[in-house]
Amino acid sequence: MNFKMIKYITGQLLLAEGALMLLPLAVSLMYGEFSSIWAFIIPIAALLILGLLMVLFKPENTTLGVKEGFVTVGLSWIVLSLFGALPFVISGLIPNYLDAFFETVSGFTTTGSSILSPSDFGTPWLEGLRGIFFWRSFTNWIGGMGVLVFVLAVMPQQDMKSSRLVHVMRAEMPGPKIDKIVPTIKKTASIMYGIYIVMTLACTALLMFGGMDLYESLTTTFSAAGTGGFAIWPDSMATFGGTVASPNFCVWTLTVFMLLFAINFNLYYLIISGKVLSAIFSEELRWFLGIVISAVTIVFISNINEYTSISENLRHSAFQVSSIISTTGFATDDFNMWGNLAKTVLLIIMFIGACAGSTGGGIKVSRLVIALKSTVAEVRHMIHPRHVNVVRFEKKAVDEATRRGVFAFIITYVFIFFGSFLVISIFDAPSIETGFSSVAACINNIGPGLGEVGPASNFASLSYVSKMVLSFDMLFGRLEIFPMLLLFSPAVWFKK
Amino acid sequence: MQIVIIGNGSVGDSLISSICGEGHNVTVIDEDATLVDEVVNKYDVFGIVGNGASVDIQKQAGVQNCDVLISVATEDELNMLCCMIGKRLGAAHAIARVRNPQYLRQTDFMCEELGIDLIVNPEYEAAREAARIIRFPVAMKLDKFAKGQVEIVEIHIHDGHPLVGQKLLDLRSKYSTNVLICAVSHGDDVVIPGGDYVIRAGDIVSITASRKDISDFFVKLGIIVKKFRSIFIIGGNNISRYLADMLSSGGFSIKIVEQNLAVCHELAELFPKAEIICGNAADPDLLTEEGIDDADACVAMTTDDKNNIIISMFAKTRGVDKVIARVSAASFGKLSGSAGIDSDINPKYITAANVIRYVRGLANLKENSSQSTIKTLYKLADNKIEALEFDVGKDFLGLSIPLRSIKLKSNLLIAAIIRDGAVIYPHGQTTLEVGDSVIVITNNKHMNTLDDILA
Repeated sequence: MNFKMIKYITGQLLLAEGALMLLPLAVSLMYGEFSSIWAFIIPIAALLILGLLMVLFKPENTTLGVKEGFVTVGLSWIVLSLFGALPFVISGLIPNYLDAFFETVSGFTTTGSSILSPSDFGTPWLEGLRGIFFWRSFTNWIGGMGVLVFVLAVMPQQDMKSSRLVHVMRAEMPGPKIDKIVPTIKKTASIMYGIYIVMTLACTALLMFGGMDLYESLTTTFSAAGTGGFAIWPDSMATFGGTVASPNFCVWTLTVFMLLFAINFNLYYLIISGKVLSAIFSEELRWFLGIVISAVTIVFISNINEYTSISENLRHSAFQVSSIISTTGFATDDFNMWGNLAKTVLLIIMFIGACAGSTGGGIKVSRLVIALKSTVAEVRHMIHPRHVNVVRFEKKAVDEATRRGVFAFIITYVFIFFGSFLVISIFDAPSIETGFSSVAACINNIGPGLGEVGPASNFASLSYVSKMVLSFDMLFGRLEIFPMLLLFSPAVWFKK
Repeated sequence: MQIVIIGNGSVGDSLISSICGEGHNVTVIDEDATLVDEVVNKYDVFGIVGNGASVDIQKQAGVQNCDVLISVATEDELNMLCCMIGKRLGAAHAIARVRNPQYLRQTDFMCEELGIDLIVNPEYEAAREAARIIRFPVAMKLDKFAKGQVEIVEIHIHDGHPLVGQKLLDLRSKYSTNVLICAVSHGDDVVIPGGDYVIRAGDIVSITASRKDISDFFVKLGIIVKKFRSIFIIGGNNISRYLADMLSSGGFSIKIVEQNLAVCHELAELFPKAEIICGNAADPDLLTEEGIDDADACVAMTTDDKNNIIISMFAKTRGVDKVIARVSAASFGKLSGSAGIDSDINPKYITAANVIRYVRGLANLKENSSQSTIKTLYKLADNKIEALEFDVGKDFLGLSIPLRSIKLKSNLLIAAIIRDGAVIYPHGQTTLEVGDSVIVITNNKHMNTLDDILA
């Protein structure tokens, strides 16, 4: 293990986090919230000093292997959340550090599960809390594309040669097979962030057009772009505080953008580089859209008696499907009150999740498609043992290693899921619906679940053991299990 | 720069590792998916699995916009085809590895007619390196200008070197030589020395002149104690043939030891002056019998690394001044120094080094300007000094004016002029004429045309 290099990259990450925290500090200053500026200044100072100490000595051996890549990512995200929780504690919004850690992990992993109750949003609304709520939404945005990808984009090229940082990028970006889109990692990371920023700005502009002010549209976009789901309103996206000129326009804008952020970002690069057709004919995209359309249809039919007008029903159904499958977790209505069929569909698409290479969570469409096709091939092989079957995805044969990786991922996912479900049932003994959906909402990075953790309530009532288990479930989900799993395997840390 | 490399064999690998280190964008194409996976994990490059000669694959790799296409796959024909397709698609420069000696003879034709900018032949390069070591055993580095008519040699001045304490101004009269010391680096300092510079121990000096002048100068200095005469070449393969050919004009007496009788006959036909010995070179008796004790240099070039190392070790014990072994496996290369072998030659490394030098030259040119008329550019002395080759055009502002009347920029030196294939060492009366090639040494950056030398 190249601990020196892991320390060096973690140091870079702390510096990046310190720099990113300057933004909410500026917001606090802009709104004259002088009482909460210390909530940012203290962590920024700590991050910069610690970060500088860690990058002071550049290691001679800069090579990172696969396991170092995984460990770096796993470790970084924990460290990131430990520091990211400080502003919540210092400002007094969430006085308990474990609660704040849960909230921060939920932010960075783009989950959006909150422990805040409606009274925490301030009276009058957000009075003196704009900076801290900006940070809360901003964690969604940072976690969406990944903070290490950000570090890779800004790191000097000189530091990156022969470091094999591709393993770091692969470990952080979601999907079964992550590859660079241009020759260098730095450029790839920059292009990814470029696309992310442009789309964020577009969404912000449209929401402002719909009547939100800059603060509201920016924070809402942050949460939508990262497919996080933290809202600055206690009732999520139901009323937008009642001050927005055309709320329906905003709802539809968010519906579309949540889906856009759940699509593989490589496709946007293909479109930019003029290969529009190959982007449109992407197999994963067509599966994804197919699932979205079917889910919206079923939810729409199930909700036919819930709403008075068809357009209202369609708006809520489409928004909720988009919000859940993209793993954002915004809500325009309390879907906990919907019929069982609609709730079941939402629970199913929680697990399906977004496309690979997007900011969304879940198992990922491409993994499920590969698993499905492999199963079909297996069945066909049983019927015709002499047939040679090749599993194709995106017009290419899927190699054995990728298939093995997909199955290993899904099996481990299921193990972790039921393990956490059991632990939560021991410590909190909630209803099966609450327990099941809370783990599902966290491991898939959605946010709100069903039952007692539905969109109208929060996670505050759970015990601290459950909150910690769910925090790690969120990290398992966002980092796609293996970086975290490696972090906990003794063989990585101890030499025999 | 955008660089596409086709073929990820051992040449490809050492190429990729150095080119990546210099901050270029590299795309690698190979048909073997595992090899591509490996290289993508190891270096910061983009990998594509497929046939490099396929237009689709080349387009996918962005050959149409690339600065250099380097084809180093195993087959010569594939490399040439890749380069031709790449050039048609719009690659700015194409480099092909071609190893068949029959193609080597038509290098110029292929460069001109097929549009390949550089053809590298590992065995030929290896032979050239061996020949260089035999000719200039003291040189650390050697670059060539004007198709090899002018060479730049870097030598290290150690304690007790005959040049220590010499004033540059005195060199010409003292050794009646034409060589020019064009750059001196000492530690971190790099200067273009004036006539009153005194050479100190620890200097690294760059010397320009024609090959013969440099060689004569070294002999006069006494740093080549004796000129090598008797050379043993072990193995009758391509490298040995190229080497024998290169050395045949230098007044060397050559013995080639080869086991295969048919090959020996062929060699005897090719090199009437050389002595061809048929037998197993790993047999000490044979070598002793054939007079290895009196040889000045022994070059072991068989395809078997272990044989080469053992033969070289034996030759060293018999008092051969310079033993050179071809060592293809990198792991053996580290070993060879401790085994008393003076130089080990790895054809793949040498090929990679040559390609990299070419790429570096292109990168330098690109950095300078698109309007530049520089023909070649080398960096000397830790890249702090540039050696540039220009053609004199009819628009040159200093045309036909004696050099002493032209006001040149400071820190600039005209090292040599090539006129009608002959090297002229400039002095005050020399003029620059249309059609000359001029080699300028300078530490001024951003020299793009010959007019830039004027103050």
